Formats: sequence, structure tokens, C-alpha cells
Amino acid sequence: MRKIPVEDIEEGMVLAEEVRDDRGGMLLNVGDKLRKTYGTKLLAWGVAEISVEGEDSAPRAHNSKPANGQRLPKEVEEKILERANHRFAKVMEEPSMRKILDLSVKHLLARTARGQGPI
Amino acid sequence: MQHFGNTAVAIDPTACTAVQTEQLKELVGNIDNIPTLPTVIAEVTEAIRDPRVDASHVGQIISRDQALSAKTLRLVNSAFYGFPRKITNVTRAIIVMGFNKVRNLALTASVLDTFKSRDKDFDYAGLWKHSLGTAIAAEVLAKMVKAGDTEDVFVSGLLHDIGKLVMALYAKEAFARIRDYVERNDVLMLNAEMELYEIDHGLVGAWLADEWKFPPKLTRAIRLHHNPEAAREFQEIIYITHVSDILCRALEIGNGGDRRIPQLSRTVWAALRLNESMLDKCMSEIFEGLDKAKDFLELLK
Repeated sequence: MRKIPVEDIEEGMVLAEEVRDDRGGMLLNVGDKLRKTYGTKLLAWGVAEISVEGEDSAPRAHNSKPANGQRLPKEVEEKILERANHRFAKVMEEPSMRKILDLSVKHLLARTARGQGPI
Repeated sequence: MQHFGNTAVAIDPTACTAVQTEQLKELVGNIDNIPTLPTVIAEVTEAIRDPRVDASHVGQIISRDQALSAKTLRLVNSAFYGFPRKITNVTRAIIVMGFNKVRNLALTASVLDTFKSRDKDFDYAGLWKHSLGTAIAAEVLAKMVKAGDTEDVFVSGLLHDIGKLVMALYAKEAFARIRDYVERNDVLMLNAEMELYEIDHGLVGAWLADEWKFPPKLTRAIRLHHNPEAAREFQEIIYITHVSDILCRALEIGNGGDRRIPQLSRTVWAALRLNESMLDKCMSEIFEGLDKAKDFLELLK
């Protein structure tokens, strides 16, 4: 089970936790199959995030979801991951460096997704 | 003290082997005209040591160098500090920001001149960005770990790699060999330096810092930013500089001269009580800080 921003809903995803509106009224039930169009509707109801079935996204620089949920072109994303993996290749034995790798990739992807260039 | 030609070099004998001293002598001993800091900086540093000195007196010292004043005020008025109204003279800047901050900005403005080389051999602009990034990261980290000093860490971050600059400008052959080694073996510049010359840019930078009569705290931070475990004093600033350098490389801020990243020392990780959530926040704030520091980068042009 993992939490995703509603903008990231893909056709066929399965809801893992019920979604209610702000008055407690049921909007969607556990097990409901999601449609891509649900994203905008949920936002209109004030729901920003939902839980879907499936594994937690792998952290080790395979994470293709930048923090704000926007998708980057595949080549851009791949380049960032490639550089990061190369940079950290010789220090991966060290747990602290793995943490720094994951965090930095998250920040770099998010920044690029927002259209903010490199410094 | 060791004497190399006309240059007296004070090197801590516990931090340097005889071989290293020889190598350093070979690299920098022939430098006749090392970059000099404007005398204004030394005067200001001296003046603010006196607890009785007032803002107006220090303001006057800086104002004597018009170009430096102008650049300093540009930094004071940058989005980085976000003052609601423009500060138009140095004395006012000191009253608002304090002696140390203004002194550090004047230092930043004057050091920058040495990074302006148009030499195509090396990415000077990239090194400046990396240095500025490390300075900002150091300030962010110092506040986050509630360090005793949040001022000098900025200067330490800014100048930690100044040894690379010295070599790029004044030891061109050696630097070319180092860069070539880095290119062919895809290692840290640090590794190439140690392999070829048994000294690192930390030692070269510390030599320059000494020439510029910097306090031992700063000299030591420059000297040991890649070897923080050797620190016997001033651990805080050394550790913070060590981590800040690594964070900037991870975030691809500027260009340190190679495509790798140094390993963060376990001693430092424990001593600063680092954790993921702290580093996550740091990274956000580092980028925020740099976005606001556009004026600092503009000064390069």
C-alpha cells in the first residue's frame, strides 16, 4: 500500500483506503478500481492524496516520483539518476551516503520537475 | 616556520610530513604574486577585534575602497537578506547586520575577483558556484545543528576549495596533470592530488589562508575539510565544512572538478547528530538560499 498524490492516479489502480469528503460522506470504497478522471474530481472535493494497492516505490535512485507528483520526461529523469548513481558508486557501502543519495535525487527530480534549472 | 624563498609559510608540524612540505614548496614556492586580499579586509578584521570600535569607524575603512563598498552593498541588498528598504551605506549595513556579516560580505566580494579568470582550461565559474553553495549550506547546517558559530562557517565554506584555485592559476602544469589524472581514472580530485603529489588542495588552501592572515580556525577548516578526523580543535567548523561540501556535490551545485563524491565521515555524522530528516530540510533550505543569492552569482559576470 502506498500514498500517492491524486494527480498520479492511473487507470486500473486499486484503492487501498476509503476516501471520504470533509463531512464524512463516502466518496470511494476500499477495492474500488480507479479511473484517470478521478484525479480532478477528487481535487474538487478537497482530496489531495489517496492510498493505493502496490509496493512502496523503491528508494534507491529508482524513484521516479519527484515530491510534487509531476512526471519528468524519461530521458531527463534517467540522466539525473545516472549521474547520481555514478557519483555515489564508490561510497554505497556507507549507509549515510545511501541516505544522502536518496534525498538528493528526490530534491533534484523535484526541482527539475518544477522547471528550476541547475545552479 | 618554513621559509620558501620570500614566503614564510607557517605549517602546523603535526599536520604535515616532510614529504608534504617539500611538495607544497614545489607547487607554491615559486609564486611571486599570490592573489592578495585588499588591505581593507585585513584592516577591518583587525578593527573589529577591538570591542570598543564603532560601526561608523569600520564603515569608513570599507568605504575607502569604492569598488569594494559598491560590491558589498550589492550583496547586502540582495534578495538573500531580504531587507525591505535599500541600504545605501556601509555604516548602516553594519548597524543592521553586525560587523562580522558585513566583513564576511566584503570578503566574499573581494575573493570573487580571484575566481574571475577567463582561462578556458578550468571551470572557474563552476568552482565559484560550488564554493558559494558550500558557504550557504554551511550556514544552514550550522543553524540546524545549533552550532556555536554561524558566521565564520560561511567564510569557511566559501574558501574551502581555494587551494584548487591557487593551483589552477599558479601551478598550471601540476594542475593540468591532476585534471588529466581525474579524467582518465574518474576519481576525486583529492585522490589525484594525493596520488601525484601527496598533498591535497586543503593544504594548498590553508597555505594561502595563512598568507592572508586568517585566524587559525579558518585555516584549519580549509586544511582539514577532507580529513575531519585529524581535527584536534575547532571540530565544529571543520565538521560543518566537511558535510556542506558533500551536500553541495550531491545536489549538483556548481562544479568541484570531478564526478565523484567524498564519503561523509562517521565521526562527523555522529558528532553532529545528523539524521535523514535534518538533511532533507537542509537540502530544501540550501536550494532556497541559492535561489535568493542570484546577486552573489551575478557578481561573477
